[in-house]
Amino acid sequence: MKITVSKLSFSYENKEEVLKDISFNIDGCGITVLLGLNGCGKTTLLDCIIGYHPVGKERIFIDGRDINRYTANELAHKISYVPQKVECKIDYTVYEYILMGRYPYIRPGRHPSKNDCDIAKKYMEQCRIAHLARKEITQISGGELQIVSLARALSQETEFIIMDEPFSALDFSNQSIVVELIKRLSEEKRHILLTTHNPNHALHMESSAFLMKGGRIIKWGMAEEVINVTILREIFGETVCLSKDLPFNEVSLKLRRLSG
Amino acid sequence: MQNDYYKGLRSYYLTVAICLVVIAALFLISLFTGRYMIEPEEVIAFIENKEIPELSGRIITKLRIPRTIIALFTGASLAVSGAIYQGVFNNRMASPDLLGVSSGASLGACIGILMDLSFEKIVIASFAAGNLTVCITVMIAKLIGKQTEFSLILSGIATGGLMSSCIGLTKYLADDERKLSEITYWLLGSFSSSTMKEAAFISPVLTICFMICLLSVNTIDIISLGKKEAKVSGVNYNMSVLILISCATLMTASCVSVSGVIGWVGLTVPNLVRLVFGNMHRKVLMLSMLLGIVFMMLTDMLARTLSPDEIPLSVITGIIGTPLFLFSVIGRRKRDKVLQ
Repeated sequence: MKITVSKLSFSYENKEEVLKDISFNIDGCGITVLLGLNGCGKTTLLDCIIGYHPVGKERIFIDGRDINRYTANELAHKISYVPQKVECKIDYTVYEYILMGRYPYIRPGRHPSKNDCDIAKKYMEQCRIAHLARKEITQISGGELQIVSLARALSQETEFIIMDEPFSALDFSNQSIVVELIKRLSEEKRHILLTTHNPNHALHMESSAFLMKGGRIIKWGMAEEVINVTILREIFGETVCLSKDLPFNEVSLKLRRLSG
Repeated sequence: MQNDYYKGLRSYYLTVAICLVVIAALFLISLFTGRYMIEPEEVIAFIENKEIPELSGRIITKLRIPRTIIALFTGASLAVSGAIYQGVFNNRMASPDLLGVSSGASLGACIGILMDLSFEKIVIASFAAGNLTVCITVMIAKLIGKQTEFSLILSGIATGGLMSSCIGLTKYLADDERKLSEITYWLLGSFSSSTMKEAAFISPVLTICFMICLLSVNTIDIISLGKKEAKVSGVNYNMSVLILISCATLMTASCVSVSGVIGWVGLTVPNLVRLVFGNMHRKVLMLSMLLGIVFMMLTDMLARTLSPDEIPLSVITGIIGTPLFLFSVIGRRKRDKVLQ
């Protein structure tokens, strides 16, 4: 399993380029974190990789094959996606919603098989949301919905899982549940590519990290090695301090009064 | 919980079976009810291919059968197209009127009536105008901008309004008393002038549409999740939306051109189904189709038996449909409270 991005640039409707000449290679299982400020192009990059934004020929390769040569269904067997926000306004139950993750494997007009139901149930339990099964997705909280949407992506059982800000609506306990889950998934021969603006998530998950600024990847490598005060100051400005004394080798981001 | 899906299926299949029996019964009953009562024995004799009085035979073959077939197809297609629009636009309040299709198809038919065209040409005019309306709606939506789901609804309402005004214009131009009343009566919806030719014309078209829709139930589920998630879940989004909307539009336009505008079915029936059986479109589509048929056959029977003159269908669907729709909305609220 391999994703290659080569010299990818992207702009919305002839406006200024959001992604500028991005190249990288993701190989094997593990976790990759895209780190950067709001508006630096993280989500746009993910959208290109999942095939949502059309890209030119020979820019993105999945398992060595140009993404434009994949049919939607073939791609759904390779990549699953957890959106930052679930847009669906129809009140499916949580169970039905997660079961939809199996649809790429179900032939048109057929029912989900017993096996599909079992898989949906398995991931519901793994994400600790079994108690929500009969609730409607429009009735649960934003954080719960984010985990439900993660379970849906998992039940798609792809090698690559792409997550857009998976922690954005989660409380502390759920954040740690998801971090542990992601770590476990990466040990099960899956690769997780996720965006976040909190460097600590990358440090906790012992992942590799791409640091983005202004549509470019300015640094990459293992999170331990690339995340340091100098580079974080370059991205986040003068609000960062890195302390070796903090437990777990954390960075702390301080809010500074803006002078002016 | 693992068997939730299959447990739900049992009651679903039971309902389908009950609906089929009810539809068969209603079909028989509708053959002998009407202004000219035919004895049930005669209907049974007719089905057994025995000799029956000539007048009864002619009424059954020339009037009752085509009328019932058209009522059946109209109910099914209006309800199914409503369910599809709701799924594709991710909006439970959507209905065939949403894209302005009903109004557009009506305008086509009005112009046809005004120009004294034959039936086939009226159907084609109505269908063409329905499709033209969809094209205009989609074009305006693209002009409005990125958020296609929302802007499509917005432009549909605008286009529908424009079409309604144009219908008003055709009424104004139809000063000849006969045509004005013909247009007005047709606009209210009626099966009274149904012929076998009309039934034979729309049945195959609608059957193909139903089959396409019933095969794409999973796709509709996925599309309702939103464009981004749909694309990653293995659905060719643009193509599927185009096919589904075209099918729904074709169904609406065919119905409008044979039986006029019949409101409320497309909104009420799918919403009631969603209230009771949940939102998986496999169930929603099939049950909307069957319950739409039941609803429309009952409405049609009321229309022709309640008074010596035919009552326009929209009058009855409106009177029955509005409270049922409100019930489905309020019922949903109450159920949500219980769940919380």
